[in-house]
Amino acid sequence: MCNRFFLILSLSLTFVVHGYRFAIAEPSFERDLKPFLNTHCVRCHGAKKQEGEFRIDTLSKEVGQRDTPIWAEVMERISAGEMPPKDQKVRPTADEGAEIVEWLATRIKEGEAARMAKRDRVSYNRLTREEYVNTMLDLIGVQYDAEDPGGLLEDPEWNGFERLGSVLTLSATHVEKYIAAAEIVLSEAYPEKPIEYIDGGRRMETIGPGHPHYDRLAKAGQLNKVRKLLWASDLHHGGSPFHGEANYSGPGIYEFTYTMSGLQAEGQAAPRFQAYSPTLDRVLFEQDILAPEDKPITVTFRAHFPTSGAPSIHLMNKAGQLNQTHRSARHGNKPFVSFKEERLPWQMKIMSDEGKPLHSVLIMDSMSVRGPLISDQVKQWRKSYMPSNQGDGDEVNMQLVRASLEAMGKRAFRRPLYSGEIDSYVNIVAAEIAASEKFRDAMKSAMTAILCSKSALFIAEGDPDSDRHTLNDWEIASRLSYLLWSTMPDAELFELAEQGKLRDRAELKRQVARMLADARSERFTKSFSAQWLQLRKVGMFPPDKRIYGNYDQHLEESMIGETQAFFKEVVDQGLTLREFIDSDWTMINPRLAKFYGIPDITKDQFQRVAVDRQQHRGGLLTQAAILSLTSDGTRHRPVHRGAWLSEAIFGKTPPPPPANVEPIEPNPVDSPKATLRIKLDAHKHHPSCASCHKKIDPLGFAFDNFNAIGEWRTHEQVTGTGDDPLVDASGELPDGRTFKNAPEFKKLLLAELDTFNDTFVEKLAIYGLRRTVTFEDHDDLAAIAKVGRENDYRVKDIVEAFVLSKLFQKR
Amino acid sequence: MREYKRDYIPPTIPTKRHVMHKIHFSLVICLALVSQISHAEEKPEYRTDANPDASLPWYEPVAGEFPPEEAAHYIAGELIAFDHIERTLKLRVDRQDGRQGQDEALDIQMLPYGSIYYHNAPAALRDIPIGTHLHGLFYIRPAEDRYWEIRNGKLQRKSGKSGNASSEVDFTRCIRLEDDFSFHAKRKQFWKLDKLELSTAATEGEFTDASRRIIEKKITATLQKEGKPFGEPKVFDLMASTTVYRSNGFGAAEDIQPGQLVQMNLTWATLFGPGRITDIWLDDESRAGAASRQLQRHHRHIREHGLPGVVAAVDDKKRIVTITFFDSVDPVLFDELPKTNPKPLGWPTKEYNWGNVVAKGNIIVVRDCLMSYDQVNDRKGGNILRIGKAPVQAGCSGVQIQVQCGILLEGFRPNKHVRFFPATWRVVSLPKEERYHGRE
Repeated sequence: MCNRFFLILSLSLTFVVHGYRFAIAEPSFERDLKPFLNTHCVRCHGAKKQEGEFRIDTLSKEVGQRDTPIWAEVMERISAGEMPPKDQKVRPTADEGAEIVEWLATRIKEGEAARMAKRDRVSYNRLTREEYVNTMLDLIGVQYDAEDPGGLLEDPEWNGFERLGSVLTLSATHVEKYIAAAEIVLSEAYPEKPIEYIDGGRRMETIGPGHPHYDRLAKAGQLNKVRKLLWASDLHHGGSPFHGEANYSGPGIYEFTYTMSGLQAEGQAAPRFQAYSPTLDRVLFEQDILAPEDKPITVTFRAHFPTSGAPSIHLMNKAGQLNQTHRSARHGNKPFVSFKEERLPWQMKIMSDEGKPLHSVLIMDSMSVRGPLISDQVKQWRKSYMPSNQGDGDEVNMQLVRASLEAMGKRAFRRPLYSGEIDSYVNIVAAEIAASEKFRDAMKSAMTAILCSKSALFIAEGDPDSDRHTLNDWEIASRLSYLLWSTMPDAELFELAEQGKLRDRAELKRQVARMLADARSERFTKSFSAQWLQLRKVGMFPPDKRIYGNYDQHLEESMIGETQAFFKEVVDQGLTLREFIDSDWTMINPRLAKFYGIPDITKDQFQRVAVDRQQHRGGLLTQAAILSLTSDGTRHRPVHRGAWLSEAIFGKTPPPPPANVEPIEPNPVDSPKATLRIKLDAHKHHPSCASCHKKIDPLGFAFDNFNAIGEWRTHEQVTGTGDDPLVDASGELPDGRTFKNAPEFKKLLLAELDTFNDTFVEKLAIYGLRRTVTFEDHDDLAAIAKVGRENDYRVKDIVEAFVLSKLFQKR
Repeated sequence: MREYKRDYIPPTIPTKRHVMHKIHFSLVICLALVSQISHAEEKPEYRTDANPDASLPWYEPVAGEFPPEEAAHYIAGELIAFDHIERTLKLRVDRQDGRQGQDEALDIQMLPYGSIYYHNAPAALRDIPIGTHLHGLFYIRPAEDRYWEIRNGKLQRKSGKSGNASSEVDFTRCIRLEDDFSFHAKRKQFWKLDKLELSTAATEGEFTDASRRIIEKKITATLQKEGKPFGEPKVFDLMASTTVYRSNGFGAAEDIQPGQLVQMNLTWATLFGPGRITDIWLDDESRAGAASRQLQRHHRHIREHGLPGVVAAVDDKKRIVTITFFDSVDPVLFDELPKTNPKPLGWPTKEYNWGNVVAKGNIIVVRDCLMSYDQVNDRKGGNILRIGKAPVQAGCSGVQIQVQCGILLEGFRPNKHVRFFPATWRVVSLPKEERYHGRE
């Protein structure tokens, strides 16, 4: 108990706290900072003397609120050891200096959070790129490909969070892109010419009469048995089934089916089918394929095409790297039918003499496509937004126009329309008609205006004419829907909002259960876990291929996928926060299984597998994604790992390092090999470093048994002379407790579950409220954390408690 | 593989007296050899020239095995056409019974390990002039392709076959081909010139005197082995076009004198034999010079085309290919296998020990006729892990190597044929007609 107290105390008092921490005494300028300034600063920067024309005693006492740039400079000078000057007789100790630096950093961060959380009468929180796409799909049934070239801009983030209203600003570029996006969406929903439904397919490889092997194959009855081999990195340009009866008819969502076998070579990655559209520069689908040569399987996926012309589709086998530039990696004249027949002798040998594949190959048979797929619901929506019996040249029925635009506006704005709100849009139609535009184009102009209006692009909360601090039912519906589904409310939520039932706790509870059970809740588990844990940083510095030859895009995606699937499993299965710290299971796919050295995982999906101590996994902290996101591409970085852990688990951001800190140079090749940890030992001996780093570094050292991409190791591979040094993953926390390795460190963390619970609630609140949290939210957050604690820290219950909390209904 | 030693008999000069049918011709040869079989007590499971038991089948080559040499059937004849890239040729079989015009020539395919000798040195088919009289060892073709079959104890045409084929026509797979020079020299046989004869017959002849009378010169010669006569004396035509080699240059007809021990190459032998002399080598120096020139010519050919061999084994996991080389090249060339080349060979060999100066080489996949596809682009190889030995036998040089490759090709399978370029040889692009790539 005593140890725990000291840990909390040391972390809480010494680390910078962004936003709000529950159990901290209110800071005091007079008590915490002024004595230090009087002792060390005022003599040279006070009323009598202003060295460097700088006076400190006149700065605002509201540190973090006012004079922030100057206070930040003060912090920086103290942190760097420049102030007080070294020739002063009385200088603060390293701990005293560090304490002041941390105090200043905390206030500055708090000020930043408070500014970000500041709300006017109406809060406007712009939809993220992901939310915009989902919203368009649920509003009008068009899949807008926002990440395609020319799509929407990537969202900015703050401490990993991408959906904060204060960060998601709007620029002229955004507006241009939103207008372009709306026009694309509407042109697909209401095409100039009807887009015919197509359904057809063909064999991947067809041999015509002019082919040198045509007669031979015809005689053998094999013309319809020709298959297409794709070895690792092999690319087939003719992967589009849009052909003949199945000619591409226009933009929309199409369903593709490919039939193929996949043979995996021993020790190699499974053959991985990838459909890629160079027209769109987009991967449409990819999956590992394991199927015997004589028992092909089919894979089906849907993809959206926005183009008016037929898109080309390339098929690839993404199983690792194989040099494709040499002659032997060409297909040659001889069509492939079976491995029972000899391939051309100069071709790469694929099947061993014993009939085992030497390379992981795909054997493609056929492909088909159907679409565009438009559900009845989507047809109904589109019909309700556009009068159908209005022809060009007819007298325009403005009542129908109004009714249609109101139907769209109500759903697009996610609330009832204000009186007269739709008038301006109706006027657009009238003006366009008057300018001799076609009726449908005139309607589309008005619809574009609706889709680009602030009520559609922003989640608005509050009233412009009054100070309202709680959400109304429509706002709750949106907050809930965007929290759990990242999209606009569905019909049921709208109906409940209309009935005023969304403040009813029982109804909210029912809705949370319904929405978490829906497939769309995967958007929450993926998006929240990625933002909380800052998964966007995975691969930000691509690992050096020379050092980490086994790292590739598939592995990177698998790493991120593991963490997201792990989070989903914890929510779905009603598990607790403890699982995030340590678990005897994890979620892996075959690629990650190979990376972790876990055998017999062949099905290409994330699946729960038991892990033991020998496999060194369990919990979030030893997952490859978490271990990778702090690396610099060549080395692991214990300090960054420690800082990340402090942020994600303890909710505390260490103060920034002083300016001009020299980076740690690689070990010289002519010097004895030394671990990074040995080099970081300099922190211990440098007083200005030691006070902070003794709290940060141990959190990272605990995971020194994992390299920069999260591979287990016992020795650290470095340049230099002699043997690679042994890894030392032991450490000592500020309160004196020690650990030998990651498992022991996890046990220490498990003893601090309440701290983690507080952090998790805070992160969830930031995500759900779309703003930072402040001191004002203290009681509400504590109440949610309490419910979590009373429910054994079950994550699902914490999510529910958040939705049922007072905080959730507050602006 | 049984060791089988014998000397080949010289080309027979059949007459109507003893040539009745080609099968009888074979029979005569075979009977003559019976006494020379060193392991006569071992009755072979197949028919041989030495054991003409018609109840036994002729030996058929098996993929992946070097065939027993004694099972091959001896045939001599004249080269009348060839495709040196496909290693196919047509042979007009020796026959002087007046029916030469009726026999169809033999269509011969050189076996992958089949060797050719010309001027007593290894040769490519392209080195041999059309019309050269040759000696060869042949195996019978597959039963389904044959012209003849044994029915009721007799050699008879297969049902549906027509024409007038020689009884040798089914012996189409050749393991060795030699000109007269090579054939006799290898067996330490020489022609001893018994006499030179000038004829004034106005019918045929090449030499003319000052009065431009057509004269004819004939040489009577007897084979000698170890200083003793071997066979009957034979009379050959000496022509104005006959090239006479003496010392390190050309000689003249006058240099030809009775008593000389010579080697000769012949033509016209299969029509109105014993034959016309195309070339005659009068002394050791001229013979050594001819052999040396041919050897260098063939060295150049092999350096450009690679050492031919067969894949004996493949370790797919370690990517190690074991190659057994054929005996159709000068063994001196195998001495170049362990040589190293400090200059990198490029990416086909870089997978292992890139940059290290160790014995390396490139493997080229080839068709059964040893024609490559595109050797510059197809080459794959790596370090030579081992240079070992294999049992020496007909077709097999006894040299075997193991090469660790960066990547294996489909053609790297047991019993498939390859060529090999040691690290010190440059892989050059062959002329288009010698590349099979694009015609598969």
